[in-house]
Amino acid sequence: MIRGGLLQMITLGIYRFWLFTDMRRFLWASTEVDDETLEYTGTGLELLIGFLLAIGILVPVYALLFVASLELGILSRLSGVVAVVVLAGFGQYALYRARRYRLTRTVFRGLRFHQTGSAVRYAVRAMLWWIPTVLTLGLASPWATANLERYKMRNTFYGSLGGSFAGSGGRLFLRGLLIWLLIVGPFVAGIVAAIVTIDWPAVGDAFELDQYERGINALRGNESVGQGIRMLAGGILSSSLFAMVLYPAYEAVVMRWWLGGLRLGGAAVASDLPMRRYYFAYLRYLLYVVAFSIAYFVVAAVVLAIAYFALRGFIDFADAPFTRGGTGPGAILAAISGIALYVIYILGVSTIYQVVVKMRLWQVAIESILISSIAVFDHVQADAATSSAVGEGLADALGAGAI
Amino acid sequence: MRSALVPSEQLNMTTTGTGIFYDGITSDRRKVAVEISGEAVEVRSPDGAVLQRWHFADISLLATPSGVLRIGLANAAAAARLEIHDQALAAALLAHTKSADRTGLTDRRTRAKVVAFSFAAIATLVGGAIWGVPLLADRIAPHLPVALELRLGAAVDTQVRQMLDTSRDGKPFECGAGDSPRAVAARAAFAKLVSALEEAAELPLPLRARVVRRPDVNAITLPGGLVYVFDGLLTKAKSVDEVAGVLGHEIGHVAHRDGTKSVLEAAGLSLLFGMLLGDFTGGGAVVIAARTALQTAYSRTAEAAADEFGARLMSKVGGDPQALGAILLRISGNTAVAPHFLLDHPEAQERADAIAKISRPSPTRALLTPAEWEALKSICAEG
Repeated sequence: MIRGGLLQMITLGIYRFWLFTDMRRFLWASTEVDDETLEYTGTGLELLIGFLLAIGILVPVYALLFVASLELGILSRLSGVVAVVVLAGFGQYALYRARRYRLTRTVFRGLRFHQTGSAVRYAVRAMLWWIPTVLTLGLASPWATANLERYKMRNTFYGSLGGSFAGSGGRLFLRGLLIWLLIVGPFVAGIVAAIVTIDWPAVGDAFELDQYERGINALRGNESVGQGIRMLAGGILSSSLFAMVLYPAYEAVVMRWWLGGLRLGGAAVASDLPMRRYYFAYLRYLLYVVAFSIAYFVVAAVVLAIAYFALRGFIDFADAPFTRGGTGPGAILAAISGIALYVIYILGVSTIYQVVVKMRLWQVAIESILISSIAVFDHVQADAATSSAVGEGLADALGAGAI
Repeated sequence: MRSALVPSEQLNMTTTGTGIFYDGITSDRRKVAVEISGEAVEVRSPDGAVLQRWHFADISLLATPSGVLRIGLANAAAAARLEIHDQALAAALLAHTKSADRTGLTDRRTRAKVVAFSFAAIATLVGGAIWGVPLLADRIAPHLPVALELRLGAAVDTQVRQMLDTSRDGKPFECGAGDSPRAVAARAAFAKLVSALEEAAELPLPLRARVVRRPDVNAITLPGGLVYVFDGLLTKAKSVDEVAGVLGHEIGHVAHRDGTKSVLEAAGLSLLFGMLLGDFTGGGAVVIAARTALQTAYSRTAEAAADEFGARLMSKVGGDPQALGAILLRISGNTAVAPHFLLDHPEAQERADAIAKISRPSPTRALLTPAEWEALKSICAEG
């Protein structure tokens, strides 16, 4: 993983296709079902080619969006929204295609998985579900997730064995309701409190004032405005705090519900995923990041100090940094080392995340599952062809890629 | 993790054993006999019939947890698999195959190739960004329809006005809109100056120059031939020629269609760095740094070209071509020194020198009468 991160850095990210392939091979190989492990047969080259094809698709789309934003004239303010919707639609399309790629590259007992169904239909379905989800502040998202999972699993096959999804939106809703209330509640309460508290007629009068300064002063002088803003800030702050603390719980709830809904032929998955494992993983991540940050800071400081004293005779550092109008090779060197230090740090933190959270949680989830009527896997017929990696490439180009 | 190779004298010791075979057609798990014979491995059913015969050259090793060797045929449509749990037989098999890495990691040669390929790709991209992008933008910009640039200008204008028009005292952003005789005179003076320059410049699209209420000593050009001269410039200018010199520089941007070019260049850079390279953790910083450096380099070239255009234009209309250099030196105070490739506007002294080099102070005629110049200077005071 560390080597992968370093290779990513020196190749400016091009190595990621091979790194992801290595990680998948490892994860698949450590996933055991009925004494037999899964096998990932994709290659980095396939991902690279898929990515390049995706770029070929996206460039005209970006160009079209740009021209459209100019042509639409008055509507140009809307064009940002249109662009987001179009690209988000592409993102969903890509996710479905990427899933197909991963499934067809998954071999179990000599047979491949595969996925049917239309990625376009899936993307339309996913986008239609956003409307109720946004309107209900996320309350509808369990039903959206369940519906989309049903579509995915209905089109998932192991050889000739078809899958389905038995998880219900209602159940996920009940399990997640408390989390939702704790996160959205304070936020809404803050808004309501602020609306009630603020003396709106006074605010209106302040906006009527012809001078900006006087308007601001009038608002400052109004006690109710300050109080309202404090309430709103308090609501947002406690919402974000709850969101941070409850995120692992949310992830665990969704994962457990999802695993419990998976069906393949007559086989059903059950999971007793303990929530505390999620918290352990994130706590360890936090701890490692703090330790890494301290160590990194110390090492970087020592290295920089040595470099500074060694080069002081040759290069003038007095005018660094740039931001204050710095000049000459000293400032350039300072800027480049600053960027390099930042990139290495971020790569370090992300590597810790991949190992301590991502891979660990995968392992935890796999260990938690229990498959009933496993014998259905015994005499399955092959029925699959492989698919191209364009979907993966699209997902990657749109920043929606995942391991 | 690399498996130890079995010393060659032991090679002949283990050539048979058992394994688990999946034929790739059904998921049935079959116990089979495995035999290494010659350059191939044979898979036999318990009754001795040969089910498969795989040549070592075609075999690929597959990722498995430790303690299990799993092999398949490379490039086969069906995913037939042979698994061997017998360590001695596994070692004997491994001794025959090319690669001995069973962890499923990308092997060293591939990795080295990927790195080498990446370096070549990055070198190409950087070369493309330094020379290719500006060259393409130069070639494409003149062929784009003026209507497109006008639309682009309108979009940019809305944003620029939101940014610049910050005063709340109720006066309009553009100066000289009033009906008073002095406002009319100021407007006429500005129009006279602009049209003299515009006529001489032979622009591909109509020029729209405005004086706007901003205290900064500056002037900007937007795509579509829109030039904003800031009031601060009129206040600081010591002669008509200094204002005209700045106007000439901005007209240079219009003539070269720098607005369109910079959009094309930004798009090109986004494509090269943003989409192809940027997508790795922490890569954002590298991309932003590279883009900033490159875009500044592009605009440095454009500024120098606009200076030259402005100086020639001034000579053409009979103004003093060196006035631009003079005002540049005065407003910069000639103190700021910064690394070259990161400066948007090339250093004032350098620009003034370059302007001096391409133009000689020539006998000049007055571009505006003293009265017109006074009127122009007070254009913003007249509402």
